[in-house]
Amino acid sequence: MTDSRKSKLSFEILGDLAVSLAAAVCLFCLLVFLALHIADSFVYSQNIEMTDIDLDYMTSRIFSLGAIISVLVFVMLFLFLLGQRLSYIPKIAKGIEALHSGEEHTVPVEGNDELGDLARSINYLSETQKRVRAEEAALQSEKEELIRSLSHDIRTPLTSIMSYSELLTSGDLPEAERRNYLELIRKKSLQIKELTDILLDGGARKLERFDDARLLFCQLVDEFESSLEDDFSIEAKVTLSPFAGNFDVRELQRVFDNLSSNIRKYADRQSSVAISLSLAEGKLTLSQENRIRADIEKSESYGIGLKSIKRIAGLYGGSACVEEEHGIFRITVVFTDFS
Amino acid sequence: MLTSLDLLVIAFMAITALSLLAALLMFLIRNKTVRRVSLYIVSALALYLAAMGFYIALYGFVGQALIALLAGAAAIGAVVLDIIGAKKGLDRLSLASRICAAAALVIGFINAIS
Repeated sequence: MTDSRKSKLSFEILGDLAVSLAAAVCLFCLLVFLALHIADSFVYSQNIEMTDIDLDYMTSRIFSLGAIISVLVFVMLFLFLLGQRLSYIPKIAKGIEALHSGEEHTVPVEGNDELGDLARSINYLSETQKRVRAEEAALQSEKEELIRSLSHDIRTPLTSIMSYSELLTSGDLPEAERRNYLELIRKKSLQIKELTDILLDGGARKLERFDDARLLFCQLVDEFESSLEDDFSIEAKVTLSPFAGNFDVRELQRVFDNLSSNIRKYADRQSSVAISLSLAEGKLTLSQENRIRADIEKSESYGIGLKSIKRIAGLYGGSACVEEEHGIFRITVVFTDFS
Repeated sequence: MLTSLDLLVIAFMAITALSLLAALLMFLIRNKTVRRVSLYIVSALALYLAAMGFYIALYGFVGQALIALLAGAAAIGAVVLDIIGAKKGLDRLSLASRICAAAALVIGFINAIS
């Protein structure tokens, strides 16, 4: 809310001058009038006879004294009032200093003149500076999170490439199996390339329209199963009717890679791993459940994969909910905005 | 050499000027310390004028003596109100104390002069 009655500092100082002058004039009149009255009363009560010269002399002294005292009162009053106005300037200067050094500081806003406007502007600049700093910090944090998340996600296909390369170099393998592993290495290399492209593009999305996204998700679940079936028993349940949607395949691959990476690190190999996909009321729900290994050691990268899944689910207007209870790990990822 | 009349006039003018200045500062200045000091000066002057008026009116002018007493009580009341207002942080009490002190000063002044 702004007050439309703006005043100028010069007019306010003139106002103070006028008040001081009026007070001094009133005081002069009062002093002279009453002093003359007191002098007359004194002379009368003391039966003093005064000549005209004496009277004139007394009157002129009263006038002079009255004038001197009035001038003194005028000067003192005006100095007090001016000092009051000017004492605001150091407060404003303190605000400017704080702004310069980047500290948080609010200048008290007094009056509706140029100094008050200056104080308001300084406060606005200080608020803006604070907001910009916060936005910068948030952007920096987001950038670091993206780098951390992508680095973690790159590690999963890289680990697969290393495993398959070791298998290829280990011994005699049938030609079909060798070709299969080479194909997997090629796919994982492409995946790493796409992830580094995301890193270089600053996280830009590449949404593609799928007329039947069910096929895409079935393929992702199949790849998920095949990456884990050597070490785990997988129970997959996909109950999807044909549906259309816009998806970034790289993002979905990262979700499944993070799930499989966590299973490899933390799931109990003696128990089965369950994964299910369903579509209801426009919400695509991906659930995964496994028993947690008793002897896990949480590494530095613990939680980064889950954070990445949550972030990707957020990009589709959804969420990821993680529960760990009685040795069972359960994650439910919901995608809502993909049409 | 100053005569007794000169001294009387000088004293009267000084008290009047000081009273007016203190009263104006009490209302115009925002600084709480200056306001407080001005209030105490005004109350002290009001008390002095009330005492002077009471002394002058003591032998024969009962009405004036009562007015002088009233002015003195108002001056003391103003100081008490200001102290209470400062402790409780009530600005209204502070304003009331200033008005009370100014009224005591004016009444005491007029009573003493008349």
